[in-house]
Amino acid sequence: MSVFSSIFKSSPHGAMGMTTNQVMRMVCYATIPGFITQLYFYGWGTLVQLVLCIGVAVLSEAIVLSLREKRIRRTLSDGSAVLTGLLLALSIPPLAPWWVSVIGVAFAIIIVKQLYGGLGFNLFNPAMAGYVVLLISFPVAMTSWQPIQPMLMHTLSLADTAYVIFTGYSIEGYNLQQLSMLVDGTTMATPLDQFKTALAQQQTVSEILSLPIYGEYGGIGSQWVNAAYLLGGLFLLQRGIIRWHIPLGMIASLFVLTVIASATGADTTYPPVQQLFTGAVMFGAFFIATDPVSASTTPKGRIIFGALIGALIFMIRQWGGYPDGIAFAVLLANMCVPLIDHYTQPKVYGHKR
Amino acid sequence: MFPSKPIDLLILNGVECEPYITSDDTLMRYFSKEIVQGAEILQHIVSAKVCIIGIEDNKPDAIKALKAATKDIANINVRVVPTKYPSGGEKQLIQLLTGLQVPSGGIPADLGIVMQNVGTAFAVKEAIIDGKPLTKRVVTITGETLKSPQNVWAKLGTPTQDLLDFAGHTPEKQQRIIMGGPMMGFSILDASTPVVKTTNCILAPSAKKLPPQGDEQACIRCGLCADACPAELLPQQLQWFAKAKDHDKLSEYNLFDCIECGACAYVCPSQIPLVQYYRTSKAEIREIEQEKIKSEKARVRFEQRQERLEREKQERLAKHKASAEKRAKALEKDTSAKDKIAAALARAKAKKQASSDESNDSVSKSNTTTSSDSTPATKPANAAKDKVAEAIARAKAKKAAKEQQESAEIQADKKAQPVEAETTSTESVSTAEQERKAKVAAAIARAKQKREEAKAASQEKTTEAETKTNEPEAKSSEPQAKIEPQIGSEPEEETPLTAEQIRKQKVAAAIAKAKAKKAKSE
Repeated sequence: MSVFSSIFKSSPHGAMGMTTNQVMRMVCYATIPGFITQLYFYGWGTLVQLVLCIGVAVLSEAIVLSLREKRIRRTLSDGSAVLTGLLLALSIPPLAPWWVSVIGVAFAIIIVKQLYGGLGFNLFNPAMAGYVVLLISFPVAMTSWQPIQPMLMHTLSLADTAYVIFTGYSIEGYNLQQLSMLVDGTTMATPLDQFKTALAQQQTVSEILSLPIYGEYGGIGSQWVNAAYLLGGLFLLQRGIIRWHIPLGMIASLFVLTVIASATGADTTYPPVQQLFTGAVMFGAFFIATDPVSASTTPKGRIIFGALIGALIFMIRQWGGYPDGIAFAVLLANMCVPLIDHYTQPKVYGHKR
Repeated sequence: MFPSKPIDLLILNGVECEPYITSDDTLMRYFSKEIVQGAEILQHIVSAKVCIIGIEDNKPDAIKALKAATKDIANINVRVVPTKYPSGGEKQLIQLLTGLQVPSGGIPADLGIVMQNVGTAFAVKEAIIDGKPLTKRVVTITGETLKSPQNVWAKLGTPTQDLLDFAGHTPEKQQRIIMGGPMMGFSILDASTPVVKTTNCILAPSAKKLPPQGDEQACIRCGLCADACPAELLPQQLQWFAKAKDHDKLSEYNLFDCIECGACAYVCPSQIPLVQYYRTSKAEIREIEQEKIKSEKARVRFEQRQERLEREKQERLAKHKASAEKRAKALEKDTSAKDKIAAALARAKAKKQASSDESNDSVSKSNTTTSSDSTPATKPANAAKDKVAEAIARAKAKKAAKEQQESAEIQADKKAQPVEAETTSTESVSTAEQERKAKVAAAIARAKQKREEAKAASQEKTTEAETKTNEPEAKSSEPQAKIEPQIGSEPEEETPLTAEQIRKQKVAAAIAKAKAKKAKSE
């Protein structure tokens, strides 16, 4: 009589093999096209921010875990802290001062995530909550996106970029404002910002869109960045990491509302296609809103959640004070998740409703 | 218990329960005719008009075999369903084939459907046509650690080890052996576990091919479990509620519709043993319900008892009332009874009067002893007086005796006290010492008591002696001589002994004896 293994576990006796760590890693990989495009259009700043943010994210997570007497190494290995740092780094203006990034990431990890109980317990999307804190606290630093590299008077090397981020001045002594100067010596706002300002100056939409910062489908740089994130998002969909409900709900609602507004309203609406390919729409739709922890968990609920984000983005862009509203929209939708989940429970087999 | 609805449809489940298992497939491939015969018998029994045999599309041979076996039978159809776990579940296959859902808490018969496994149909044929009891079944022996995985006819009761040896099992490190499939089977710890009627598979997987679940990580609310759940439950929410032991919420989220198929735990990236949580919670809820039923029963029992007691009381009262009424009626009828009662009352009155006189007398007597003579007393009163006096004397005597005894006891106590005080004052003395001392004290007290008793005895003796000595004296002086030799041992007295002296000597002798006794006992 032989006695078998002492491992005695309840069925099922196997697992699919896709671990949390693998899920997080996949999401990180999927940002690569967008990341490279951002590097191309906005310079080395994004890379420096990336290293800085991930470092701070992992460090603050480790500190809180040790304070909470949790298993540091094992918890860190789930990769969620790395992803939060990465997402915030991709959202922050590339040349934002280092302390801005540090505050944002530390807030995201320590307050928004760990103080609520760690991975799986946070009500809000950590990256976006961190972003909003920065946007409200340091509006100038957070809205000073440089125009795209080819239009700039000065382009910076990697070392120069790091120097700007950590000291505020380039090696040659230029400050951020000087560095944002265009080839012709003027400065320019971001496409969405520019659109609002120009509208206030009674310009028509077509007049505004003929400005050089606008490309064919969106901002001259951001249309490509958005396309790259769309590509990454499709990869995630294909790998089954995310499901279509949230991105589709969000993009569709933003698009439909814009179409309605353009067709019915006065000449004050950012056109539908441009709406989708400017700002952080694709990044938000595939990488931010799909954060499973803070999103709705029922299939129907996910569509509603996505549509709600899309609608909020439209409202903020159309009538709000901020040029882009992805972060606010996501946080506001996060608040509605328990309600959405409650009312969208699927019909259980054998039950009538 | 007959279903309210007539049975329209018999479904034969030829969908394998779980991955790895091929026992039904084997049976269908080699015994399709027998299965169809069994199906016809079953169909006849439940009087189902139509029979459908559901087979997964990954079993082409079985489909071919069963199609061939049923091609001449109009009302038995073979239906092919896609291979997707857990289509083999009863509820899932019914939905797949008919589009209907078995109501929650109900059975397929509520829909007019009966489902049986193909193995059951085969066993029915064997039992009814061949008269063979169920003593064997097809068992799949499979897994990566076996040299020749196969399906075998295994007699019920065959030890697992025999089957594993038969298939050339070489155990790996920490080998898991699963009875049943990978999704819902259970690990067995002992290789002598026998094959039973429900054992469709013995699985000896390698850890590489079927990696055991790792450590549980935090739920990231990804919702893969909800996508995988065939019952459309929300496994993730159930998991939170199960961990919080929120039984109301668990019921609200229909925990009991979970069929424990394991799909949720299989897809979970955080490797949460979801099914285990559900099983635990189900057990907890069942236990609580059992308790509820128990206490409800106790409550009903208590209430019924109260009711019964109340009823009995009422009955008793009614009975009393009835009998009282009866008596009253009888009284009315019989006038002589009235007289009797009157007489009895008169008697009672007289008695009462007499007793009250008596008590009055005794009271006056105790109050004024001197005046008792002057007051003229009736004869019975005098007798009573005497009695009272006697009683008082008796009581006095008793009291005196008691006092004597008490004083003796007090003395003994007093003697014992110093010893006690000593023991308490010397705290350092060990308990053994204390015990010994206490014993000594007790012994002393005992001895004293004895001595006291002896004294009393000797006193008694002396009185006895008194009466004895009185007797001879009264008779004559002759007995003196007789007495002399008796007291010869006594110290010599020159004067002739009077009766009084003899008595004294006797007393002294008794005292000496008692003393000796005391000394001995001490």
